[in-house]
Amino acid sequence: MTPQDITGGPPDRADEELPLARVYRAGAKEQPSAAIDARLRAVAHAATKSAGTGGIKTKRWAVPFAIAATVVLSVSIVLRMFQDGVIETQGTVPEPAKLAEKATTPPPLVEPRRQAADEAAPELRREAAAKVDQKKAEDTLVRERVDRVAPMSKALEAKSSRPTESPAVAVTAVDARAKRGQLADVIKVQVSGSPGAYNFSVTIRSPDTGCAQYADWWEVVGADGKLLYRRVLLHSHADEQPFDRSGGPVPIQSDTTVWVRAHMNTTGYGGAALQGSPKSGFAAATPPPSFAADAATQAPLPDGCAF
Amino acid sequence: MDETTSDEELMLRYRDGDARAFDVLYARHRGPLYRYFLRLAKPTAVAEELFQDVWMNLIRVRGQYAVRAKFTTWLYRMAHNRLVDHYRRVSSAAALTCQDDPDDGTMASVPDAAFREPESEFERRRLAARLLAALSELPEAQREAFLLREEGGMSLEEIAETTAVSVETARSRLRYALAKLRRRLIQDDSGAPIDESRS
Repeated sequence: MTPQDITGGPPDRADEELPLARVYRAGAKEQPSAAIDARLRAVAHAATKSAGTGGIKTKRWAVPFAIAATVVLSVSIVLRMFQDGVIETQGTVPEPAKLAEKATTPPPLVEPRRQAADEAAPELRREAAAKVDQKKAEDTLVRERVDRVAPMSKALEAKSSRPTESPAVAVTAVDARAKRGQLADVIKVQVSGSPGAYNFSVTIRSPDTGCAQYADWWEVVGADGKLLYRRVLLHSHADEQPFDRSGGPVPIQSDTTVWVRAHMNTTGYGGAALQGSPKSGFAAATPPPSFAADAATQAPLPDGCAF
Repeated sequence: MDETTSDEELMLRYRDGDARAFDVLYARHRGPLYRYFLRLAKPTAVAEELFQDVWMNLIRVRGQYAVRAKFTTWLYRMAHNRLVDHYRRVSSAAALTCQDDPDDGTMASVPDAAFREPESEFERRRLAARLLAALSELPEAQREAFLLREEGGMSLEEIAETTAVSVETARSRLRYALAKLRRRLIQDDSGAPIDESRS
């Protein structure tokens, strides 16, 4: 029974409700647009491919498996440290001859005790291997590359920690670091669809506080700086971080390299951006300074912030 | 998987990775949920945004899904919460969280009018346009009760559960909504196909 089945309707519907319900039904015909339908379906399908059952559903064996794996790993590390001499038995002094032997004799490929531990837990190893295989398969199927902001943050930190050439440069570096906390980062891009009409699902982390400070759009920009698509965000996401927003269709080919970046209504561009193509996937990259800065004035632009 | 497959079964299948189950589920509820937001949030762009928020949330939390209630109750509970959050942010109305509707005391005189079925499709559409206009003027809580009834196909108990109020409050909101709509249509057009003999 669908909600539109009036006669089947609510079980407690009184007869006198029916005429009004029928009149309402005669006028209530609105449907979401085909573009919205396509985007949501694409995201829903991609989610099943990329993350299996998704969410935080836990399997019954997950906790015991994790504990067992931790124990096996810990024991292996301790044994390895003991054998390598990192951990010495209290009160013993290493003999020079043994130390020399240790230095010249390569460790066995598989230590006997570790091998024994592995043999004692073949099930765990099989499950771990299966999980690795599953992850590889998922990566191949979805062509999705999850790119963290960390590499870019490290790059920025490395850049800012270089010896400063002048006070002006130092001030600029400090400003950049201060500004960085106020920028919108694109941290993940999922692409679905077909050449000429790809749908993008973009995950953004931004320091939204409300309409006074929020990420107001994400966009797809060509390698030449041409604005190809912009998804205007109608409201802030102060309580939903990071957040996903889908958009499209983006008129590119499977091997077209593009940038995906986000924009803050206060500080503009400058946050982490991802570069790639539907075919190759997307990875963190740093666009040239002031790359396609004039896109900020191009339509479509936000005409308000709902909340 | 066909038309007889329940919403709950479809959601379980989607939870377990069957993307086709989502398609069926979405096809069933896209229109009703869209109209729910369309009549409770303005402008249309915001309604579309909220509509997408709910589906994105469903996709995100699918792994946690378990059949504890009707699927529609679960879906519209998410929608209701999203709407309350929206209202809170825009501070336009707190009606959805109010236990008492502001005009409860004025409803004693609302006639219990009943409709005759309009004889022509043209007349039905004309009346429907007036009904939608009248609906937009209802307090949000009453409007939501009506929409959960008509779009969500919910019983009073389900409306109460979805909106986190008592069954009596849900009953009251729905009754007032229906009465006001009838009264408004009577006032708009006394010659319309409304049977006032029962009022």
